[in-house]
Amino acid sequence: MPHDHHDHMSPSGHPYRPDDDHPLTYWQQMEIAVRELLIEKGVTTAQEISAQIDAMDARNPAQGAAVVARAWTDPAFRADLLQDASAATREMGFDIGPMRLIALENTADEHNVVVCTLCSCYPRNLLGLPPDWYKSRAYRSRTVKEPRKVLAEFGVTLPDTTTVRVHDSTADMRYVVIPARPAGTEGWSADALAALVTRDSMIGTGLPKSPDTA
Amino acid sequence: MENDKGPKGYHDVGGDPAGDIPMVDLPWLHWEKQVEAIRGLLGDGTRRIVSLDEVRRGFESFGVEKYNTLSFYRRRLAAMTDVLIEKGIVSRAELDEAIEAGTLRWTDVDTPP
Repeated sequence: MPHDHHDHMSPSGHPYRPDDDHPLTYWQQMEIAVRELLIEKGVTTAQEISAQIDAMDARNPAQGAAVVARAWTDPAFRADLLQDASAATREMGFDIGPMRLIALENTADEHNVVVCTLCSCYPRNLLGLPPDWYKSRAYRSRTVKEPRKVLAEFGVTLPDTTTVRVHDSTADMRYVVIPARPAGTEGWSADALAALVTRDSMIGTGLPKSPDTA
Repeated sequence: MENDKGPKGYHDVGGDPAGDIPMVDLPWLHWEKQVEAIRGLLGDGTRRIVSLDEVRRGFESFGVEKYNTLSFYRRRLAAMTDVLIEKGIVSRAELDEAIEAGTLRWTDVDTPP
């Protein structure tokens, strides 16, 4: 009777998950203190903070994937996007804020990769949160010095004949990579193509998924 | 390292020697989202109290030790709080008092009902 009368097992036979309650850190207490003081002073409200979090949660790489897929299927949009990515993505309905967004197109001869050496600037309003490694000191330090090695660690090995361009972001100027459209996707709809576009492929540390796996 | 623009800031890490890139995606914790949400609201067009540039200036000047030991959202919260105090929106005394009150509130909950 392996599942009976065992303190660490639920009636379904799975182990209980341990409680995740531990004391708040100093910084968590600081966040509560700042938030409550700002609400008390009428600078903001709990409702506004909640709505802001909802908006942040709604941003994700699928937004960028829709932009990429449209660039692959709509030549006029592609031209607009490469000309002024802020305006082109706003026209698609994305609230990308005041920053200048620049689209970088990968081709057969050129691969683009994005970093922010000074901070961790990232087109959050289009792609959502940056991955943790993007904010890491190692990625920020090394990508500008040994990009091919960094890319290889992400599983992207490029022939020597491919030019690698590294783009260092700033708070006011952020980038999105338009990866090269995978071969074998002729005639695909924009929606089907968007499913191939990964977050990392829009940073340059990845490639789109192969159509065989989709 | 120095050039004609003067010494390099400690946040200016491009090209520095560094080890392996940590290939892990950590969850976005709720208190971190709150920090981000508050910063966004404080910098929006209706308030313009704390801009992103001011937060950056804060953690790019609050000392290398703090910069190197605090996590991303701790850095942002520390810098944002410094700007709020600098501008007189909240005082250090008010904050200390609120943290103290919070500590009491959150440590008292272990008593069974």
